[in-house]
Amino acid sequence: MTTSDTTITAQAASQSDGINLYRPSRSKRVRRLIRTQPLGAFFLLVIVALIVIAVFAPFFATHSPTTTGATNLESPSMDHWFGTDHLGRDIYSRVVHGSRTSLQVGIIATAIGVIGGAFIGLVSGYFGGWLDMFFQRIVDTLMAFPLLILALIMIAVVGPSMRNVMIVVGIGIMPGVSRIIRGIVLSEKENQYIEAAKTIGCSAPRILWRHLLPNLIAPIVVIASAVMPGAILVEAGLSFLGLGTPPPTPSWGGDLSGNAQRFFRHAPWMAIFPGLAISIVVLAFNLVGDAIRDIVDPRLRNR
Amino acid sequence: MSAYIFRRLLLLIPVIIIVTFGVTSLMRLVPGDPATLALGQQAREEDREAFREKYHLNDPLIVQYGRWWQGVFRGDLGSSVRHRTDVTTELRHRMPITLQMLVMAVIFTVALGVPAGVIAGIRRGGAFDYGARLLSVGGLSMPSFWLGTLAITLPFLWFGYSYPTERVSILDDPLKNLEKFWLPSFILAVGASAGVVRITRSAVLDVLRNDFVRTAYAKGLRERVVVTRHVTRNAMIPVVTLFGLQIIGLFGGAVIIETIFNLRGVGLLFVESIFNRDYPMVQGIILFFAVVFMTINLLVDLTYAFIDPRIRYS
Repeated sequence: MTTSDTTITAQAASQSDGINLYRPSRSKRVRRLIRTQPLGAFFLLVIVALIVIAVFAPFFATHSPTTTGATNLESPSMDHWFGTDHLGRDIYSRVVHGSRTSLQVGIIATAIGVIGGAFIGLVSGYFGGWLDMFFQRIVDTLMAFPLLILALIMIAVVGPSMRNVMIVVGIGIMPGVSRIIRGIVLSEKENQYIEAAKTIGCSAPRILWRHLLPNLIAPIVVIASAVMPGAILVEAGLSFLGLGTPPPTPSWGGDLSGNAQRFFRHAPWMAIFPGLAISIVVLAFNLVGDAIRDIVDPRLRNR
Repeated sequence: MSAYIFRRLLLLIPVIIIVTFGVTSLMRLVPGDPATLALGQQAREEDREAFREKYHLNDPLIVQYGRWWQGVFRGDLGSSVRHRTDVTTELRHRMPITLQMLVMAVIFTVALGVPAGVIAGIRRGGAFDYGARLLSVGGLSMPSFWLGTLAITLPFLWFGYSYPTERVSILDDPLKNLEKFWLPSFILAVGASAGVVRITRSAVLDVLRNDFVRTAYAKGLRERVVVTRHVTRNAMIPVVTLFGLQIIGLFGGAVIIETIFNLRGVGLLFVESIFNRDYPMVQGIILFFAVVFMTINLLVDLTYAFIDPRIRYS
């Protein structure tokens, strides 16, 4: 038996070679998506809406997220929809602006992790030998640690900032991704088309880039959608511990941490809304991720 | 089997070396001078120098690393720069707290996750199934620090209930101790059991399709027997795999949960030590984590043979 090499995603991803030559019109595909994946389709809209809110945050916010003008700890009202915090900042506006931090870190960290992990997995799986040995021992080591602890260690070294959080979480995602990709590459490279490519004299980079990678796009998409919620949660967790996005930048995790905690008993709205926002974003990414997995591998549908 | 265990233990060595050396060199890159942090900004330069000399902070990296290992073999992880105690003592003080919380969290996770997953699987498409899936996606999506914060705040607002701030030993007052511990453990278990529900359910669905299940029903076994003896047992392998990962993940959760619930365990110590640049402490805790995580992984792999006697190790 191997260790935790294979995860469900790996099994799901590796079995995805359904080819469909018939391609229905776009509106037909949209309607079918809504019919077969109603939850996924709905939460995809939620994600789109969230991205729009994040991009146009100043437009959606009613106040500046950092101005401390209003009365402290004001309960939700027509003027301050989610109330104000202990510094008199408008919580609704902070939540709106916080979506920038959360989504930006989540998306970029996932991109770094998936691209880096896929690269390591491809190289490690395709070339094998000492290179594989070397990478896999490091991957073993990193995979022994939970993502949050890994990120904490690295943040301790590079210092907390939004850019560092993206990089650190991205690096933390890499080992798991590379393990899955490596597994798929190991079986994929035995195919005849790879042998054919080798025979006609394709260079290794060309085989990796032009032949192997296109066949890995489906699993990579599944993996990306599966790691995204975790990346968002870890950013929130780091900010909560005071090691993520530094204040005064609005961050959902950060707004729940440190000094703010002492005021929650008097102003519970301070605690409720940022956390609710995290939960909705992560829920949306989780459900869309499930839907993507179902579409890519219909055998797992309804599971 | 013992050969297998031996080989797995051998594989531990490179991992531990990579981890500890990586951490030693990384921690030295950290901006900030531990001497200044420990003695304060106003400390005289001579005192700082003496401090560095005392904790061998001036030696080259490789010498510090070598000296640290010498200590590890004697069971000495060095002394904390911050706490003025040695790392081993501090860890020994903090460990029972984290351990109790995690053990309780594991119990909650199994008690909630496995039965719910099995029932959702065998009653697929039913109300319970939808409820369980809904709750598990929700459980996976809510950050533990938010749940924890609400779990302290809301009961206070609604019922005037104050979560105990002080921890008492379970030997002195078991009830008070449990009052302090059940809430953080439960919050930790929410996320973990959500994952367990999902994997159990899908494993059960896999097993249900097998011929032996049909045979078991056909020969007239009661459903309870089929489900417990035939289905659940066969469905446990993926569950145990995930469960090993979940326990490891719980350590990550513990870091956050201990901060919220003011439990002075290893997780909180870890965060504090990172803030304080307490190198020996961070190094010691990471070594501790690495050993614990690797052991859990090994135990998970060994459990397979108990669940499925057909599995042989090679």
